[in-house]
Amino acid sequence: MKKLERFGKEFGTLNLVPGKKVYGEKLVKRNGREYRIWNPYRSKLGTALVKGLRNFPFNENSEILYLGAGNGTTVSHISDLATNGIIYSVEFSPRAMIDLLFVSNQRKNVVPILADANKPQDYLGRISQVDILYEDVAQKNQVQILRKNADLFLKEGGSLFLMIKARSIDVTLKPKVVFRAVEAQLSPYFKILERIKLDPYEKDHLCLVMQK
Amino acid sequence: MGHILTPIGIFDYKQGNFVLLERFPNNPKKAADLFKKKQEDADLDTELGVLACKRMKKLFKENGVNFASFIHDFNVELTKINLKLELGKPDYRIIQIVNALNEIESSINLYSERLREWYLLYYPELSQKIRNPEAFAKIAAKESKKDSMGADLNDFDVNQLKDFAKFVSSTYKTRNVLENYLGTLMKKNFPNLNEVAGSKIGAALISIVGSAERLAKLPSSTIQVLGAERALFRHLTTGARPPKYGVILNHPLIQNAPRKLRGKIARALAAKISIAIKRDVYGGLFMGKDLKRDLDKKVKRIKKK
Repeated sequence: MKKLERFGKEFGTLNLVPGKKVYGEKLVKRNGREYRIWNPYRSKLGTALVKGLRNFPFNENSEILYLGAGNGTTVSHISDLATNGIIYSVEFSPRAMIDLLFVSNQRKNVVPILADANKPQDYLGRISQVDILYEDVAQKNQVQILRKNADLFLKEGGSLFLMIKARSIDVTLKPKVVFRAVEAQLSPYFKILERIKLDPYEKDHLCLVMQK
Repeated sequence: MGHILTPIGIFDYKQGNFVLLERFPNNPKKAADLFKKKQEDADLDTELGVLACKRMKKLFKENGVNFASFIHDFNVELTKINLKLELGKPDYRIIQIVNALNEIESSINLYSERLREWYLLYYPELSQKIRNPEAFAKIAAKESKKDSMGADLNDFDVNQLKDFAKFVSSTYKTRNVLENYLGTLMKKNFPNLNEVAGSKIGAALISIVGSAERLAKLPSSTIQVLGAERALFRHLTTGARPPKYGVILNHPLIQNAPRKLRGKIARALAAKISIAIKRDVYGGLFMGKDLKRDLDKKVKRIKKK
């Protein structure tokens, strides 16, 4: 049984908690099973899929460190996939964390952590090493945050997903220039596997997939 | 070498092995409580921490703890502890009140205008006489008309009108109560900022950046233009002229200054605000009066030049 299915242009994940929505997404039945439609306007990983993402390491046993988990929109879809895995979901905003805690009530593979991804020592000793590091923080120093966390928590050979928001790094530069600079900062440390522009769903965003 | 803190207890590291020094209870809430307490005063070693992360599953297994369920429950409990502390910060209440006041302000103007228009049908002379909208709502809720050119409405119609006036008047009351509450919160929690910027501007600054701590970390040049983001980014992207001030524009020192000097005064004010909020956030005595006095002097000098 496939956990990730295509529904027309979009994708859907097999609902881990049948009958329950997380963020108002559509529920669709297929072969007697319920799928949650992955809204590409709400989730950047959903966008990347719609735009043809080829590297997709999320499986049943994946253990993921997710920085910038927000209200748990993307986290919930990954939680549908990594049913035997763990998603350590780091979020700094207490408002978003309230929502995330409710998500983690029903989804035991979602592990909420209220912390600043800038200060990984705050959650050091509370989590295990991971296969995938996912970062969507829209901070100016998002590259440094990624590197710090990759050093501490990501297994050798593990995958990295970085959602780059050009406007958060430098509004005065053209997004292209920002993306090139970010890649130059990361390529000495990680192998760049894939780059996917997220427009028109997300303006001036790039999804960068890498390997440690 | 330091120790390492994990959800199941405190470990020492000797000759490549983790040795359990203190075992935490199996109850996730109790374990999280202890973890939190120890985290504050423990001497934690980053390298050991990384090593512990690598071996976390093994450590759990060796101590007879189910990894998947305990790592979840423990972190949920610890996050709840941290969340409770975080939500207790006055910043969050201040931000809600700032937003509530802004929303009340815009709706209250609409209601007041509507009340005046409606009241004109009944008793236009009163509407003419009392220009202040707050006072008007209050009086309109009680006053019955005397000799007037307005329509002779029956009791039923008049009562509906007065009910609406009562509603508008009570909205003004709520606004005033919230403003007082905001003043109290600001004075109690951020006395220096409150003294220099005033409660409304100080609170607006905190609200724009999201927390007092973040405001304390900003350079005064940023504080000066907080609330003028559109103009600032227009300046940065197109090279248009930079804004001189953001929400601090509403400060009496700037309001009462001639247009030409406002930029200079804004710079001086922002500098003092920056010092004041640092004092409030990082601890220290009340120095608001001194800051205010220095600022007044500085403004006088600017005006003399």
